[in-house]
Amino acid sequence: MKAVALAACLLAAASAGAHAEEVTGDIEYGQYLSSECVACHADSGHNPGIPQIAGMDAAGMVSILTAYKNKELVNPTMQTIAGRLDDEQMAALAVYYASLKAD
Amino acid sequence: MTSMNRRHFSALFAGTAATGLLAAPNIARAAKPRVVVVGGGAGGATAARYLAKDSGGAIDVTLIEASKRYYTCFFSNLYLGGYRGYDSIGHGYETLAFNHGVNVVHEWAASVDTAGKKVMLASGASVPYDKLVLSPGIDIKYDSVEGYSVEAQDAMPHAWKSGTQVQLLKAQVEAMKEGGTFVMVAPPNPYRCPPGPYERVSMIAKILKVKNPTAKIIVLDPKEKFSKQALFQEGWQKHYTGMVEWLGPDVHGGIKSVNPETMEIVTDIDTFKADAATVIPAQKAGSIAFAAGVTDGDWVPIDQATMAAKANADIYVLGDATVAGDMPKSGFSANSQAKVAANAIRGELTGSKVFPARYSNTCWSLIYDNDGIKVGASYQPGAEKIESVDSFISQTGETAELRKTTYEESEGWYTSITTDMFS
Repeated sequence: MKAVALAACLLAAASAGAHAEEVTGDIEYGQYLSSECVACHADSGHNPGIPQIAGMDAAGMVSILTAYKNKELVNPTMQTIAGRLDDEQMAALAVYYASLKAD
Repeated sequence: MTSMNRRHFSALFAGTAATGLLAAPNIARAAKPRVVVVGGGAGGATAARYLAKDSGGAIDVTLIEASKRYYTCFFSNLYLGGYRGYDSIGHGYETLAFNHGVNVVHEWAASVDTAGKKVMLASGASVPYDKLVLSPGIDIKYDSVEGYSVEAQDAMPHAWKSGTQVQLLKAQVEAMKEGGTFVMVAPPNPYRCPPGPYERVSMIAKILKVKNPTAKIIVLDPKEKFSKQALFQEGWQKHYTGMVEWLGPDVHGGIKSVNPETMEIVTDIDTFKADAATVIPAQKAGSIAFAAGVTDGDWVPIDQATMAAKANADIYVLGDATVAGDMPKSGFSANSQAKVAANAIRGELTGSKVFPARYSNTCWSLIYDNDGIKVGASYQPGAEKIESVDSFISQTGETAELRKTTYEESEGWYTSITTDMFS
């Protein structure tokens, strides 16, 4: 429950753009890295069972990935994916996904 | 994305201008590098799509796939168990052609002229390539189980390549006499989809629990242990109490032969009489891999950083046909490998930036209504092979809520990966 609450909080922060700091990253690298994400997270369209990440605020995405990496969020698939992302890779992904249009 | 396409367009424009071909667009078009992809499954369809999409038209991509409609192996078990309609696991190639300009050729690729760099079609035509991607999946080694054959697969379907074989198996399970016996002969390692046989057992048990609750399922396994074993056995005990009996080699003593006429399966200790059966034999790389001369034994060794065949730098091989180190033979793996190969091929042919290879896989399985489990890992190229970085697996005793979430996640994954292959 604690993890769910944290996720909800992070998502709310992400959508509200509450994170003031700017994320800078290599968008082309982000696009390449995103090929790992799109097997589950569709680039567009609503997909029940898997959260939508296209169009997510960049700072919010970095927060969520960091929380998975630190195992504060529990989904083991995401812990494994985020576990090997370094700061540069997280920023690249976040900048790329922020550039996509949310539905 | 836009900037990337613009960059590629500029590069192409500069190239044609420099060689003075601007006034002859047909020649310019013919001068594009050509990639031919054989096999339109999780590896091939993904590779064709990423090559065409990410090169922004700078690469001429041809996909050769005999079937006009592709029925995924993954989730064919959910069709078997009545959780999905058959049509819901079928996909066409029209969108790859329409959205990305992939040339889709519905023919059988018979062989490869590696010296002339051409794929030879069964019709007699040939398709030239600069780089070739083979994603041929598996072939069944019919003679690995004595008494089994192409003819025997009507009576004892392997149903390991999706499609009509799965429809046949479902009909045979549903037609079993009351209190009858279903027998599975499980495959030896390595084979496509490690948890697949045991998810199939679960789905057949689900059919029988509803239609024929006194029926029994016997699994004759050549392996001493299997993928997600504790999770499956816990689930069988919970949902199908007393219905499923799994026998390893220490119990049956070895699978000797099958007889599709009498529906008998002979092991060292006993002969089992089945009312319906599935025999999943040993497997090998699809035949085109052998024709291309890239196999070693039954499978294709690959370069762990690029997925290029060790035997031929112009031929990339994806998915079940390969020896992919720690990665299992799965649709998810093939999809992941396709993106690494597409990135490497684009780099070679167009000079685009090549990023370091990274791979991942998750295999979901369904045991019963809303009882989903998963196993997965991230991978990277190691010194000798593709090696696991980190892995996870569902735990026994998880809450019903978590299992439901895992099942719903698998449904979402199916939508996304098939979109990633075919859209």
